[in-house]
Amino acid sequence: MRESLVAAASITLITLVFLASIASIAPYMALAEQPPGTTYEKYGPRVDELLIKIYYTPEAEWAALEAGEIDITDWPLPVEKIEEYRGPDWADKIWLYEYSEYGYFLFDLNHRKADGTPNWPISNVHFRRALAHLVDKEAIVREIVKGYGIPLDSVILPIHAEFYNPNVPKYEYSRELAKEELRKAGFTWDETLGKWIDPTTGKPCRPIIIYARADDPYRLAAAERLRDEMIAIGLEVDWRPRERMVCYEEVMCKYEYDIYTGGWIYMLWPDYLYDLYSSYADARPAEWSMNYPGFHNDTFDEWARKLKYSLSYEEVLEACHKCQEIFAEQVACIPLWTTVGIKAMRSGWDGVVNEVGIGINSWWTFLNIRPAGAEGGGTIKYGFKSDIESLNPVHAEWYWDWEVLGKIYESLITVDPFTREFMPWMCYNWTMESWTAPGGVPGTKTTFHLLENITWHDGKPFTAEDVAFTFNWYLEIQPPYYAGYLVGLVKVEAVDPYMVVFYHNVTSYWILAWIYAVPILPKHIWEPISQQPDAWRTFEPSKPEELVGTGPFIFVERVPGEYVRLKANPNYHHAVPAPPPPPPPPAPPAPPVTLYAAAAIVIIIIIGGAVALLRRRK
Amino acid sequence: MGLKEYIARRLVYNVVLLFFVVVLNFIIFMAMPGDPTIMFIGRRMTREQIERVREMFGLDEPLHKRFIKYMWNMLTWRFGISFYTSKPVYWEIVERIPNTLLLMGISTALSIAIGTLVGAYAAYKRGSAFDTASVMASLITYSLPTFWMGMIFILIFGKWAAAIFGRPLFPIAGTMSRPPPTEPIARIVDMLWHMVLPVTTIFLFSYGQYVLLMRSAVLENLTEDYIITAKAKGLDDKAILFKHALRNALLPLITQAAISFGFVLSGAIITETVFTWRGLGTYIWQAIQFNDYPRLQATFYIIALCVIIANFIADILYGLVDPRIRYE
Repeated sequence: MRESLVAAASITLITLVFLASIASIAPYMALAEQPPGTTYEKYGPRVDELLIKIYYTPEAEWAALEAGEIDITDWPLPVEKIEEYRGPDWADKIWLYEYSEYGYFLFDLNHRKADGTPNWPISNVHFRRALAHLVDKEAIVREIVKGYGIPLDSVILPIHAEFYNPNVPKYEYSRELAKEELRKAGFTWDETLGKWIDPTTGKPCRPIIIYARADDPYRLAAAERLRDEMIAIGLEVDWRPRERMVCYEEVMCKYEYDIYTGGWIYMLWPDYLYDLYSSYADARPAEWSMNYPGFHNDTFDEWARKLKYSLSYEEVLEACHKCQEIFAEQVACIPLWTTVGIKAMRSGWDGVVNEVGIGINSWWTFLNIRPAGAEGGGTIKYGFKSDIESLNPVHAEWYWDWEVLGKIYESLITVDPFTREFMPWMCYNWTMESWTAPGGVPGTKTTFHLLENITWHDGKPFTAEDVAFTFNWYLEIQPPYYAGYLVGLVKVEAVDPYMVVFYHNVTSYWILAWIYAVPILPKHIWEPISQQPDAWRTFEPSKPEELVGTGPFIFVERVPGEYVRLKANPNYHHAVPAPPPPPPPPAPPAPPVTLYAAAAIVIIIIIGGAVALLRRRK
Repeated sequence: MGLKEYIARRLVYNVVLLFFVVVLNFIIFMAMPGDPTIMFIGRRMTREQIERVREMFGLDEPLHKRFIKYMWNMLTWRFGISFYTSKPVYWEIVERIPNTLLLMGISTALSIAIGTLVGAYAAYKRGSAFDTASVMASLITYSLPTFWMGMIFILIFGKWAAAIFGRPLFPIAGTMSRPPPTEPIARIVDMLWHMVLPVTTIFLFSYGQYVLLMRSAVLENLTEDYIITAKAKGLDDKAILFKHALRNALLPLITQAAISFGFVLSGAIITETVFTWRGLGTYIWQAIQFNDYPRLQATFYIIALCVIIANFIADILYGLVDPRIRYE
């Protein structure tokens, strides 16, 4: 008996301890669960405060992340940090999110010399294809960028979704195929000299000049591989590893190169095919061409123009695919890889949005983020690896300037963080129609119907006048940051307080992207500044009453080189909907009718039985 | 040659020197490859827009006009507008000077004071364990790169301390807490607290040179006849060391200290960057990144000016302190 009691007590105790341990772990397990970052809400902000802490190096920023001084980082991790954070020491403290960047690296090929004559032998398509066959992109991604990249055959990226054309001509890595292409170009192999003979001179092929960015180890290593491959098949190389500014001068100003390790970042919209590779973009003999490779192809130009200036999505899409095909078929340049980055944040947060091409420090994250398990509240601490240079929204240039300003100022429209579709944000909707611009030029008229519930951070209402003022003033002063987005804009008119019309002297689907790129300024604050010459450049807003926007966060203070404090905008036009009123406390459940009836029957039976029993005794 | 004439000559010499430095400061930046407008290349701007930017920066003007404008700006201390921030460079520099002065001033003063004392004592105790240890320590810390020392401090006092104690033992970044305390005294304490790691880094790197310099100077003096005389007179060791040997050994230190103080305003580019210290060092670093000529020209000019002034003062001090130097 006693043994049984002891055994029962032990079992009970063990069970209790087990249950208690589960209970203590459960909340921790819930906190440590990493949200996938693939969903988002269109309202917020949910945190009370956004505190931005500045570090001058990524190393200092990661040390701060490890010490718990910041919650979220702005910059992708290097390979060794990824390995470290994937280890058991950090598994429950730091979350990692992978994303693909809106940028790419490539070998730029110079099609023409500085004097405009063809740059033989690069000007020959077979020679370019031979070079393309010498590039082992898979190996570059595997060995140089350690797997944190995606090999590319097109300069439009897979994250450009429908615009990406996966069916472009590809060039398999093969020295034999490269030699075959050289022969097609007219080159002959001289066994005695061990060199390729140039068909135009009858002499050995001249050395091919490769400018490699010495300040970028990845680009340098990729160029070294190509150099070695070229030497291996008997091509001579003039190897010039140089620092960024030297490359810039030789490649983009003097056009004295054959191959350059180029790279572009932040290529959000595929219309860059026109801006970078159409004949229009070649400014030679002037310095500084966007199309510094000097690629000229009439068919490509025609499609690129359609891509840039068609109004319908279908036409733009078709043109984009065609451009990619021609680009690859002609080997305008040799695309290499797009970077896959990994960004880190501290665990314990809900509402993380891992935006395509941007990562977890997406604008949407700051709108959605909140402590795990909570509806809102708290302070999110965001680390910057660089200082802010200026908080003047008219001429701020730096990425980090806009990481702050983007939370304060907004544009009329926004884009979906996953599909990149345009969405109305400060407006209900928009319409686009054709319009005849001055000079009989076909243009576009875009009408926006604005939301009526938007107020500036200082309480003044936001109206169409603010929109018209911003764009018309920018047209006048042409601030460098926005100049590229004002192409073709003739005027902006406020029809009524909540209706604004944009007139462009071009027709283009991308007009929406240009409008999206320009945040709206409050007229009542910037109009006095606009009346002083050059004040837009010298004015440095530093007080809350100067940095007034409509965005989800309100500027509180900035200590240069140290931190920036923003607080949640309580009157945000996309505020979190108020929770539905709590239901009234439930009344005690009324016994069902059948219960009453049954009880009555039982009582009747008992009483009746008792009465009958008493009568029988009598 | 009298003292006044000596000063006048040195002054003229230094003004000429300054002129050459200023001219060189212009030539170097003009000869540099690249163009500040490179930062706009990713914007897909039209040629007209780019030309407008160049005009705005004054980059379209002929070189001689730019040189005249530059010389005038240097003379009048109007350093122009930063290409990058469009803010007056003068005010940007003035804003950062206090932080740099504080960091570099304290660490330089500490290095000189402690380095001198340790060096003197090591010389006095020549061959002892203290001598060996201090010379070794000086050589080690002097030869370690500052960025490495800084990173090690961040690792130990930041990352490891946070793993053990739940928070870093010393701040690893910034000049103040973010946000800082509101009370003035608490704010001062907070700033001093943030200075611990960067000051220690610079101190460890620079104190060694004073130890070695002082040690060799004192050793040289300890073998002089007047020290034997002092000993014969029955003076105690401390008096011999501090009143006689050290005083005479201070002469070479003056030049070294003057040069060090001349470079105080240049900041410590690496240490400031590692510890996110917003001073002139980080300012120079950012200017290099953006090819911001006005910023770079102004800071290099100020550094050159400080070094020249510091040397000028050292020249005069030398004459005053060293009884062997006479102007007549």
